[in-house]
Amino acid sequence: MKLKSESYVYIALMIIMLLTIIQTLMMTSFVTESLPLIVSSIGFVLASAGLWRGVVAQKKGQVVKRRTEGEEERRTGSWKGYLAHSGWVVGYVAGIYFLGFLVATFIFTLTYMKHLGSRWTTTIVSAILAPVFIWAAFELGLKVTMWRGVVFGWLGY
Amino acid sequence: MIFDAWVQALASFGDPYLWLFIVIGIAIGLISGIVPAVSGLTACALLLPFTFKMSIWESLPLMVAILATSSAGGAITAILLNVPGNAANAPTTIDGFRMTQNGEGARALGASLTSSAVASIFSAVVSLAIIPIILPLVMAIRSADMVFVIVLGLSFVAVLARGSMLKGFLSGIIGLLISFIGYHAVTGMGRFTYGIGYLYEGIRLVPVALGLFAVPEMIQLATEGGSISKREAVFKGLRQVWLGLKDSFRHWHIVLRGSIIGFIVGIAPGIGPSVAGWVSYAQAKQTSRHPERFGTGTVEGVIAPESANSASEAGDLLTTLALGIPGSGAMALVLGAIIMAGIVPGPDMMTKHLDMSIALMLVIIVSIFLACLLCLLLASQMARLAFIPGSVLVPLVLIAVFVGAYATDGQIEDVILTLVLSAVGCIMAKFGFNRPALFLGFLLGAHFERYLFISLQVSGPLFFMRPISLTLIFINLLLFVFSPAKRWFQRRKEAQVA
Repeated sequence: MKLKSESYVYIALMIIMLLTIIQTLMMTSFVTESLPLIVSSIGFVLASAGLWRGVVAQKKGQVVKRRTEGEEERRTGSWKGYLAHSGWVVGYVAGIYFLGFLVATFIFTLTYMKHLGSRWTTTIVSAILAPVFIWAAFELGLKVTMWRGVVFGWLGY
Repeated sequence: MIFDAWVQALASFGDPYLWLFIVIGIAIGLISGIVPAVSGLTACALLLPFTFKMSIWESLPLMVAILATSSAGGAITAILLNVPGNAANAPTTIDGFRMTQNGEGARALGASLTSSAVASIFSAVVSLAIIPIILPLVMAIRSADMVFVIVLGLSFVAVLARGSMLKGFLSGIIGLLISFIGYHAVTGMGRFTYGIGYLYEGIRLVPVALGLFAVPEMIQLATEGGSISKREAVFKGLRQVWLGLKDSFRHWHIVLRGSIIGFIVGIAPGIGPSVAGWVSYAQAKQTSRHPERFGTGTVEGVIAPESANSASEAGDLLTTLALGIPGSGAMALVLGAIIMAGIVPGPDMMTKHLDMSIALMLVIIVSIFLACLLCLLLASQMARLAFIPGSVLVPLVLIAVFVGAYATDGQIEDVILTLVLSAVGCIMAKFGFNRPALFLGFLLGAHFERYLFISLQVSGPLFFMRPISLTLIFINLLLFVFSPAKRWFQRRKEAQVA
């Protein structure tokens, strides 16, 4: 029987709770370990209950209703879209880390807005205005030194 | 004490800065209400990093004004475009948009905004009247009782929120575990830090709020194609607005019932304005002489949900201030702003900061009144905000999220943590886990542990043998019995509405 994707979330939670329990048991102070131990133990029991309930419901569901191929395709499509857009967010954060806020924001706005179907004029104007706004509002206005990026750090800026 | 607090609260309205933040809050609240992908919750999450630079007399009125007005903004698009701005406005679309199709959009809007304003003011006035009654009770609460107040708050959010109860509890537990990361307040020992210096001070509030509430909404909007509305708003005739205004007073009993339902739902943590709207709609339909007219474009079908969802905000705020238990995710962010200001949530807001609590109720009255006036005058122009394309909105909001996460403390680790928590938020949203429960567990975890430790030190293992603690334990047990009954009741109501 192939498990539902939700069941994998419960399995992941069970593993996290188990690791937390092991780690709390390794702590030396009872005061420090007691509450995390109780909470993670309850979490482990609840995650196990969720997994068990999901598996039982799936067994019943397989008899009553099988998911059609169309439904499966829609779900997979939605997941693909979700992961693709999450990838853009990860890319932006990686850009911030390596290139700093101003450069990463320019590149992210330009590429992501175009990818989402914006017009060229809107995209270019936004890509220029977004870093300018960040610089003016945060560096000049709020006196926050924005992250310059590790690449510029290596280059000595 | 109460008299002095009233004087100070009223005097605070002489400060032009307070008015400035109320006006900004109204503008943001209405925009976030109108733009369907951005709720009051998202707007507050995005604003949270900036509240560090503000005093509590600026940040809290700003957030309360946003939350008080976002459902009024959401009603505009629900009625004129059939697109509910917030989840709370969903029942309004049933009759509201039908009225627009029948050429009575302005009338529906007039009725909706008037009933919203009346219900909000009613609910805020009742909350203000209740404060002297609950004050002795709040002052009698001790550390031992606070342990069970927090447990009750988490149970309410986990049990009563929509979706699986098990997922609600699991979410709360994950939130508690996240709050345990860092130095232990009593022993000074690090927990779950893995030698990373950044984690020793614990997980900061802003990355959690932004990661859980702002990023998943934007990814969802981008995945769905980003189109918000393609219809043209039809809004003509100020005479019709006047008719709608009169409708609200003609159906005063529906407004009153909706206000009471909204207030009660608001006080009970974890239910939220969207449930209040549906319950009020179903109740109005059930008690109407002409239930067959519901769904065909009747003004009662607009008044009932709008009065209830607006009234719930003041009730929700009262519980958040008095006990430190927010009823919704948005109020959890208000609680976050209170904690960031260094105020211990709960009784402190009803004792040391009573003037602030009274002022916040007055902010609800002022902001909803001004917002409704503005909406009635500029509804047609405001509805155009719903046409902001997702392709512009999503990148700009995402930029605001990560810039805001960094600007709070100037640490790049906050940006990375926001990304990690965004992934957690996305998984939770995708699988129907309860994000407000996680946030509440995270917010109250440290306080829970501290109160528990103090209670055990002072009174020993039987610290709960106090009338208030025992009552709270009893209510908690009752909640588990009530929950299945409530779910059955809710399913029945929704089936009736359908």
